[in-house]
Amino acid sequence: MMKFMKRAVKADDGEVKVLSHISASGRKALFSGVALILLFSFFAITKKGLFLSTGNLINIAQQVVTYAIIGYGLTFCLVSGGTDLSAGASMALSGIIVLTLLSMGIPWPIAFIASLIFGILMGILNGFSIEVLGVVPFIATLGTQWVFRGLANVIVDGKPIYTNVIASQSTQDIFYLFGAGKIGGTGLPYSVIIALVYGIILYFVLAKTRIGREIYACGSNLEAAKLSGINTVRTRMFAYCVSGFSAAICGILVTSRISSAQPMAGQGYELEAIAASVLGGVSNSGGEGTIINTIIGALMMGVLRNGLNLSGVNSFIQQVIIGFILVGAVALEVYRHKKQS
Amino acid sequence: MKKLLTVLLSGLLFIGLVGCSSNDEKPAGGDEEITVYFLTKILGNQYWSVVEEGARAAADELGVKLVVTGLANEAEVEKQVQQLQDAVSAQASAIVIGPVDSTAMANPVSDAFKSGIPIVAVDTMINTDDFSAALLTDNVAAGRDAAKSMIELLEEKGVSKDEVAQVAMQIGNSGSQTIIDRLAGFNEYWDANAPKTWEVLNKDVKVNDGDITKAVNFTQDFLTTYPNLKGVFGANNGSTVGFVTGLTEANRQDIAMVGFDFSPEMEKFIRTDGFTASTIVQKQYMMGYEGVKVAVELAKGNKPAEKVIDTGVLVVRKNNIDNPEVQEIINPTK
Repeated sequence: MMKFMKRAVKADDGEVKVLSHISASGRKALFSGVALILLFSFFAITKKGLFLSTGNLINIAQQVVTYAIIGYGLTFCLVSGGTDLSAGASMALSGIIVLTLLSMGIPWPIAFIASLIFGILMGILNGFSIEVLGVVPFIATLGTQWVFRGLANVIVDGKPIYTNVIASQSTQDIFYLFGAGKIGGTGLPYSVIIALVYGIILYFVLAKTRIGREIYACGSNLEAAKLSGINTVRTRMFAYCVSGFSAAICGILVTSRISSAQPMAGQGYELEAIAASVLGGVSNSGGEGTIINTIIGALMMGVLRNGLNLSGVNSFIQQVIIGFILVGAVALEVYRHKKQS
Repeated sequence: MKKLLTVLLSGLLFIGLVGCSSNDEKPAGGDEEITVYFLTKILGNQYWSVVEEGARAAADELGVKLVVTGLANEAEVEKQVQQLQDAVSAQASAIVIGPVDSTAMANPVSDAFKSGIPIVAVDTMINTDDFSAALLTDNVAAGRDAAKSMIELLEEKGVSKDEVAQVAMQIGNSGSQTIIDRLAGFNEYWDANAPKTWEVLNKDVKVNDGDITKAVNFTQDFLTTYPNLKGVFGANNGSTVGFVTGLTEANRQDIAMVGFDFSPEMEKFIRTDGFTASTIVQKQYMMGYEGVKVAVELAKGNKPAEKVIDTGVLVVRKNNIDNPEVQEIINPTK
């Protein structure tokens, strides 16, 4: 009886903690939201018509899609207390799988589903290495990054393949729509809608469902989560599957957008996605952050890049600026934590 | 909270300063309203930095504003698409682009071209008709020049016409159209002009993926495998440096070498007594320089006489390396 009570108390404690972490993400979302608005206003004022033109705003949205979707997956991993360095390579491999299947004449819905299932399998491999074999996430996913990148190269013999390998012209046209196509009249790209809808779904999964709360519990205190009866192996495995699945969606969109599957595509995207998530307020030490933080962070990166390109700032200086902002943002975070405690 | 905002705002101010300072770069007295976006392929790369120098020189000379953006590696196709869109949003007067992938960039370039902005491709062809001009090396012709030079070098070394002589080749990557064209040109000229007993080892072309260490290892393997090896041909810069290093290490002065592009390693090798070598030098400085000039003309509404312009190559050897017209190409900034 005592034992049971103890467990109940722990669970309660965990629940309280989880809630406080979600509201912390809210505060951070507010904070980075303000930063995003400032950034946006800055470019809106300095670049006026150019920056605020409908065409350019759509460009920004379209450019943010990749980092946002990979960022969603990484947010699940980061919140659960892990990380996924294999996301960029998973993206490349999924792209190659989907285009290879299409080139074999397989109907596109089946090719898409197969590629997405493969994404989940990549997540399971990551989760297995980390949770069952006990390899730390950083090393496990670094290893699988090489595995996925290697496989991508093996399948296509190191050369990019192009969408003209798809025999049917109508399939080619449909495939091109997903990444580059725009909804007639509005000029809004399908990929942006996909990213938005997928983001809303994942927001609810992470913030409102049981598995979502369990992911927070794992990330804030793994031991406590275990003691409160959470199946932490299953929970964290789920986070990696979301990451693999997201990378696969991204692989399909990017392959469509650039009309080719490149085995070396997506190099470093996982790091850009981590940077975007952290900028938006997802904690890199686990237990804190929502998909809203990720979207805000990805938009900050997108607005920054686009604004700097429009201002004619050279790429080297852009790297310097974005690097400083990233370090600065995390330093602010550390400072706030110190002040609170 | 106040403090945080201060830090944030000062961050923005910093961006503002950088943003503004680059806006103020417009040289006085020129066509201030003309802004050319130059989308280079790889930033910080030896070859592309020369293209960029040419582009900057032309921009300075014509008094137009030049904005340079680029990629970290050849796989960043998506990033180049974004940079192209940003250049269109920025209402560039003209765009000069080194396409990172001829096929993958075709649709995005076509979209940008249809927005009415003149587009000039440099170095690499783009697989669409929707561009205004292209300045590049005719790689088939460059391959022919390489074969011609190889035959001359072998003759100078005293390889006789009925002797068995083998020529080994290595390349950076097998998928690139540039390389495919160079090898095609090389073989075409070779088959028509070389003695029948002289053989190009087409069945054993090594692919080094741009990795110099691999390229050196391949050179050593060639030297071991083929007793009748008389010449080596590197179809791109990395392969050339690999051959140079391998031959220097083994001190095989009996092997003639033809390479591509100009690097400090190649210059030293050409100048070293005892070795027989030539290199096919592309005029990448001219691609950048003429590319921007053509772009500015297009921005003013003047079309170039030809849509595709061959910038040509130069065969550089010990006996011509110090000629002024050669120095102008290999050391354009001096």
